[in-house]
Amino acid sequence: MTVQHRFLPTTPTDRIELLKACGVNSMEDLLQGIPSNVRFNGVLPSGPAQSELEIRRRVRTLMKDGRYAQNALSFIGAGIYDHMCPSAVNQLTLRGEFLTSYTPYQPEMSQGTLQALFEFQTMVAELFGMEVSNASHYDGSTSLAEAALMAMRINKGKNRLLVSSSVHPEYIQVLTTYLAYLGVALSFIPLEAGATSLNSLKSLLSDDVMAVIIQSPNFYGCIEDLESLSAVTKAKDALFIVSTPETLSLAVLPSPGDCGADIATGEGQSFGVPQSFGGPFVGLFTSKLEHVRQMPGRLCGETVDAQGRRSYTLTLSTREQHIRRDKATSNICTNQNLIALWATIWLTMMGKEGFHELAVQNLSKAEYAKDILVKTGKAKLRYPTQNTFNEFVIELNGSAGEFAQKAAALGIAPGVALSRFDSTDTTGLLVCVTEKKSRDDIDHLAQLLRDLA
Amino acid sequence: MEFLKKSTGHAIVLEEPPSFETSRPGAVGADLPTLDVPRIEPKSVFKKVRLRKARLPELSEPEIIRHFTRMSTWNYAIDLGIYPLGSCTMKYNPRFNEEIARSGELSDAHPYDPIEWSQGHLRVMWELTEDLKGVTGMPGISLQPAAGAHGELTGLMLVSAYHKAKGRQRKTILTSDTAHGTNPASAALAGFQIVQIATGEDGVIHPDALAAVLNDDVAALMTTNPNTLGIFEKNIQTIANMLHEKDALLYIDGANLNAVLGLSRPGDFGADVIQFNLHKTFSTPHGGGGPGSGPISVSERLLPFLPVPRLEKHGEKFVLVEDAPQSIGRVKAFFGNYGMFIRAWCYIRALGGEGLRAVSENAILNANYMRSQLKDVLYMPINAPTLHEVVFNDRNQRDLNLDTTKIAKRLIDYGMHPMTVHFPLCVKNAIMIEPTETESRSEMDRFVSALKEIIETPGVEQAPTRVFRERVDETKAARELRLTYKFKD
Repeated sequence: MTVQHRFLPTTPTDRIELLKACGVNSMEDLLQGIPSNVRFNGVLPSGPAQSELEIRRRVRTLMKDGRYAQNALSFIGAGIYDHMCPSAVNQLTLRGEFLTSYTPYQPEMSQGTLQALFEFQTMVAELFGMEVSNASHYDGSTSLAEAALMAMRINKGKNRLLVSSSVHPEYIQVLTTYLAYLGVALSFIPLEAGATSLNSLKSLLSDDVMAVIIQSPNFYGCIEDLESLSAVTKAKDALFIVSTPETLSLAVLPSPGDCGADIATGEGQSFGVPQSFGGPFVGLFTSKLEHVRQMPGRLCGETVDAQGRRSYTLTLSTREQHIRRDKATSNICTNQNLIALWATIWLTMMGKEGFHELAVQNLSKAEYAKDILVKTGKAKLRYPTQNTFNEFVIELNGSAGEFAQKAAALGIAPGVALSRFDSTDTTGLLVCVTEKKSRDDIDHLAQLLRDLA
Repeated sequence: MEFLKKSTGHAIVLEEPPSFETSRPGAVGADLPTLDVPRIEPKSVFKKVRLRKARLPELSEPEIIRHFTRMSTWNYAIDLGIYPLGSCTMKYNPRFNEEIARSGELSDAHPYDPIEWSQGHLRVMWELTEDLKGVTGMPGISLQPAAGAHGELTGLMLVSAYHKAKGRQRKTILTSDTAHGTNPASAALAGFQIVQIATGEDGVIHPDALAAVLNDDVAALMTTNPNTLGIFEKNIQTIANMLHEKDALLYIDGANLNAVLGLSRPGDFGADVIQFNLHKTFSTPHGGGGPGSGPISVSERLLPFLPVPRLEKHGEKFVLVEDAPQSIGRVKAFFGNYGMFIRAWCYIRALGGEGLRAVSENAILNANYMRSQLKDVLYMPINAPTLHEVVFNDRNQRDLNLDTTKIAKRLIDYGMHPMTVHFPLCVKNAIMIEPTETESRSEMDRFVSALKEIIETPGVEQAPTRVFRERVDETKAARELRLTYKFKD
């Protein structure tokens, strides 16, 4: 007996009529295509159906110790950045025409999604100072891995990849996983005072290097000298790939394109996308126009309709899996469309001046925090000679992990203890200060440092 | 054209140029907090700053609302009507799931929050894991992959790791001619070569066809079940046994899992790995093309190789374990598309175990109803029992100067999204219909009436014409390649 449910419009009477139209007597007759030896006759273990009320109550109970329920104060960044987001962004992305549509394979009934993608590509390319952006990727980490694969296709025959040790450790892990099957050797460029060592890069570069990967601001918050690193890389005919997890920094720092990047990727979560315990986010992927045919993922292009009116469509799909199958530039099928739309609306709302001003606020707050935290005498800057944007490493006198743990019990996350990524690093604390932290919040953190560290 | 006249009314659809054209200096779209610390100018601290401000649009909030709302009206959506894309499972997306996933309680959390704060989130992930294990009857799950194709890639990396651990490198992945394009693409990305098996006249893989290509270089067979013809692979048990005899593995593409919830579990016939598409089977919104979520489920054989981090329960506490020596490693930063887990978790709770089975039963019933209503009009190249979708082609229409593409484009004029066309590749000019369980009889009848009228009144060449934009010139788009807006300055 098929149960009735609010998601299922077919009534018991409908069912009898539909079965009759199918020329059968029972649901069981329609299941004859499933051989009896592989039929499942039990009930799935997901329990009884629950009402919205019951599920909501359960959620509230489960989340009672969470960040939100305790109104916690957090200075955690490390690849995910807590930025303000106007209400209109959430409201617009709830419109069913955006939310419940499929990939725009039929352009005549998807112009809304397509124009939004065109605006997205334009803004992302503009921010990165690059000629082309794709329609988005899963996230920053997989964007970077696909950038490496793209470099392999462009620089066929070369089999070594140099990666700065200041790239986000989880991005490096993803890169390592992706490349394990493709015969590429990864070498890591050491750091000097928190930033990629130019001299080490010079000595590691050889003719078999296909590309060099640099993150800026890097995992420790330090701003890399992209121009110099790029110049050295180009001299050896390797591609220069830049990864930017904190894309708000692009408002005030020289763009990857201006610094000579061939491929530049990033994480669009910074554009007001909820942290959502790590996803879904939106991977950004840009390159020079000359490499566009080697790009992974979807591209939206401008064209005209039969009446000559400006229109948009997905284009260059001969690169993609549904046409090229095993010869495709990537196996990627989806983009992160709704989050790309979120980012597009957010960037439109921030606007030219607001986006810049927001970045200035981040810089100002982080500089204030650095100053006041150091003045406590309980911590010093680990890389005092480096410029940072909204994130930096402080060096505690004692254990950063223990300090973070004590603070957590008071409803405060003072940053990420770097021991999470390197067990030998017991004293480093990665602190992020966005525009959402007030002066009082920052002063509170300083007080905590005085009291607990 | 009777039905056409009553199909679509006059919509209020307005033109709206790209935001860069309506932008005006001085317009403000969002308010920022007052800066309560000393202001630091970038050029006072950085050696080099951005040369000029990014040319983002400048518009006020009401203008922005209108901009995107107008654009939204140019889209078709499941909220508007039937979306019968075969193998894409365009079902209704419950709004409750959206509200919960977007609530601060769930969307504020950071994956590096203190683990005590995160116990609720980890419990949701744990419970979803248990739900998914129930569906597949397989012992392992990873929620990490970001989408179906990403799940495929991850699954194939596990296959590679399995053979490597046995001290050998196998290079071949077998697929069938009903496979999705992502299957060979994912296999190539995981370093494999593809050998394709032709399905038999009854639309399924035959043991003889498998035997002909099965050798010691075969790492796995990758197939969708039920396949993209909507047909259950009836030899699947034999196929699994043959593979396992050669120590090769069975990969099931879970794209069509919506047909078999509570009816058949891949683990029971020996599947080694399967990816879920939470955006298909478990109703998370397609969002115009993502975000998806592609968890994988694996057999005992592949457990040691699952990606990190792994969610474990130590006593009453949930922890994430990074240390797993045989693991393939990490496939995505952080813990997967958590926001999608919440939606799927809500969906499963709203339906319960029996409700999930009802989903598949209704999906099968609806697809068979469509089949019954169209089988005398469209040609069905493979006449076998079908489950949640049905594949026809345009053979009966060729004399009418009508073909699959024309039928599809004409459907748009009726205010309905076309079915999947020209896929699967084993059927020439395929017409692939999957109504899903969330369509009512009257909505399916609406689609059938439209299709019949299109076939009865051929000769409309230029469809679609009753839309915001008529046939879009895709050739020009590819030739002239305009991928960004050309600014005047």
